[in-house]
Amino acid sequence: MALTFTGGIDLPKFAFSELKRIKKYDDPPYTVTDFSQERDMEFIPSVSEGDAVARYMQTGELVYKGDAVPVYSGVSGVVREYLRDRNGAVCGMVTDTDGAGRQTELHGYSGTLEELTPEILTDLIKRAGITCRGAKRFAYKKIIDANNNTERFFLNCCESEPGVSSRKALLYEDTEAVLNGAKLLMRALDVRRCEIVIEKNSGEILQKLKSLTRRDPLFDVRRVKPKYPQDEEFSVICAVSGVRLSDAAKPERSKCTVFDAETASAVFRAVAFGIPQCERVVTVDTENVLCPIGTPISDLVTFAGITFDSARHIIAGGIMRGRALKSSDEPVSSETDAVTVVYHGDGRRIPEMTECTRCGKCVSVCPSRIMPYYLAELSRKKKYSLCKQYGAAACTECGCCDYVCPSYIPVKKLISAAKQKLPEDVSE
Amino acid sequence: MKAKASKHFKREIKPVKRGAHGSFLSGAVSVPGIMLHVLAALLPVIIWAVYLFGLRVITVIAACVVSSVGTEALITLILYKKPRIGDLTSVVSGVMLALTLPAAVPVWAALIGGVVAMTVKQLSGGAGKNFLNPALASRTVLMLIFGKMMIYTAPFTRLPLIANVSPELSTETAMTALNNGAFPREAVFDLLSGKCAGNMGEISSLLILIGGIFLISRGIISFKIPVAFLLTVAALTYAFPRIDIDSSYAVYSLLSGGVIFAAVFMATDHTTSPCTTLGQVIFGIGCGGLTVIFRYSGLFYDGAYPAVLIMNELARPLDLLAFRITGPKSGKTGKKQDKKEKIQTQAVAVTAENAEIRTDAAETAENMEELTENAEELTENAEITENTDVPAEITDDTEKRAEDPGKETENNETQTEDEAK
Repeated sequence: MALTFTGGIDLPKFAFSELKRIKKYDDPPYTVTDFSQERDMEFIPSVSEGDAVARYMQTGELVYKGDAVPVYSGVSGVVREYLRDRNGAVCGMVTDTDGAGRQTELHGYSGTLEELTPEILTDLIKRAGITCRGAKRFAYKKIIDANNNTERFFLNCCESEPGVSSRKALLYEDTEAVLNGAKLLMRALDVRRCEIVIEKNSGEILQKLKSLTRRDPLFDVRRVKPKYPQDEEFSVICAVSGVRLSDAAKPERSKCTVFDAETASAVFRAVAFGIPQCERVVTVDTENVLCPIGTPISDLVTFAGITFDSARHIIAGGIMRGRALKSSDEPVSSETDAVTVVYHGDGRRIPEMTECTRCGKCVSVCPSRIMPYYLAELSRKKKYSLCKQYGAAACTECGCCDYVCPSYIPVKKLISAAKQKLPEDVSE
Repeated sequence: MKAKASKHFKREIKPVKRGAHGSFLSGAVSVPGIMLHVLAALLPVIIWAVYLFGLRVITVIAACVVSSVGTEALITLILYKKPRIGDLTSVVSGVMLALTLPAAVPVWAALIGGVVAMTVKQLSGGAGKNFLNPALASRTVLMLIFGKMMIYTAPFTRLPLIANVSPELSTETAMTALNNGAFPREAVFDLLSGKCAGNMGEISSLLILIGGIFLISRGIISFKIPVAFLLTVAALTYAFPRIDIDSSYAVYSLLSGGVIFAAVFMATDHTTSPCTTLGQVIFGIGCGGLTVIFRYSGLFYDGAYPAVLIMNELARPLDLLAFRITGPKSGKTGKKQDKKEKIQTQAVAVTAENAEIRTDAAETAENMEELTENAEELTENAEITENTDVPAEITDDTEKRAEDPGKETENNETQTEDEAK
């Protein structure tokens, strides 16, 4: 029996079917660095408007709660303008590509492997500006938090959404980099063993991983049931280690740390070659494209050969968690793993919502074990303090509740609306 | 009139469009789909009843369905609500109500039953907001008012299609025998396969269980409520048999009367049962315990239906209680801690209440273990929050901010170098 977690849903098309090679998209006409969506986050640019930037050159710094990581440019070009938020503070910049292909010199780690202490490693990771899952979660911070408190280390190779294959594509093309990155992360975390978590239907990749790690005492391949949302950190921990959910949500209690395959790959590239994090693989419809972070999604979609007229929705993210674009020049961010295109005539229209019948489907599929129907009801009544009591903060917005709701209530939307209005803890 | 109704509709429900933030996939079985599943599961039961009691069964079911659908339409019209007959909930309520009545019930009583059922449902807020199972509430009302007219006839008795059945035809059912403290005449196999007198829906236990397994396999209902319900009834009647005839009293009390029908179709009604696992288990155990208590006290013809009806009201509180026991903990601060402790003590009190109903000492012990675990977690939480040094963090922040300007100047230098290149 494959390992799995409580809740979640079996989705059609979730099986990893086709392996698409990664295409490279190097020269978008312009790139956008935009942190206006992030709360409590400051972007301090280190280049001014009109300055020329080169590829892999630092363009600024992200500050969140006293921690800072550098931000790098993925293209060579000229800074056109700063983006400002409502208060007038700089929250990003637009860079025009000039096609000159300038590139800053890169220096990988040159010392011996024995000298590579966790401190040096963490510093290298910090300097490469590596974030995992959203701009707020700095990889180096995560390592420091988890250090001396990690007994098990999981490398998450599970795909995030149905139809998305960016992580698998990266894993297939760059297996060595991912495994070496995992080794570096193990050294930084001071653990002896890495458990690779992957869906059991991953076919070719599973074979490749197994053959590469068969003789390696450092790695263990753990096969899990292909289920959505398996890629969440807590579901990885719950599925493999079987700890209780309330512990899995707090790494300091579960003593488990999860890193994604792309973070491991970025760590390896940063340490070995000094390449900072400024590119990522994005699944565009069915293609996998490697593009600089900040590429406008419209250009990416055009590059993949999709015309705008044929699409009904263009969604940043997967079909479950994604967000339909209002304007097509929104950029690819470090957490965008897919751009999903819903064509005209695809699927069926979701009927109008009706009253909740308390069927309990959402409760039984919720991986966070909260009561989505009740939270949605509270959110509609605008009782946000009660929402907090009933665990709205634990919602990961996976959208399972939306998927199963027989009354077609947009539960996820209601809960996420409530989440943004949760009363702050006064004493914190 | 029409325009007004639509206005009211708009004011009442705020439609939230599936737009930018919703999921773009839906794999749901819609509400009408669920109701069709339930009707399909009830079909074998209905066919068996027709086989035993003739076409009068169809008349009674039709009377119940017509009156419940009509009443719902009328009430929604009066209340300016949008009628939702298409979602089939009223049809299912009508069929369920008919199946809890004997085939020889007067047709006008069935018509009144439908009206009562839909009044109960619509006046407490319509589908999804009613806290009582409409069919059960209506059946209880009918039993209270027209109890004398509920005549049970032996299988294969010729019944008139519409006219009232004369009381001379009535026979004793297994349930009345049990109620009188006697041993039923029927053999166990007859009760299981359904060759006995009784309410239309509850005759063949086997067909009901098949319907239940169909619903569970299609994911329409959860197996926890029926299993907890039936196990509790079995355990209680085995431990405290009313008549001391070896161990078959438990078997007889499971198979006679409406326990299995109530457990599979009534207690699992979505709107009036809990959704959380723990809530469902407590709900099932409570239903079973109350059933046995009501049966032994002999107040009603069958204790199963009033038992479910009483537990129905506890469905929502049980959900909230279960969430507080098993859900994710969000409390962090000292103030919250106090609150949590309060909740814990409440939970202990409520579970203690439930423990009266339960006999399974092991299960209560498990619960207590869970509670103590929770308490431990909470104390751990408290320790963690106490240990974190807030001032240290602040100093860290200031230090880092102090470093920042230096870094910026460095960056500027590298930038100028780049430009020079």
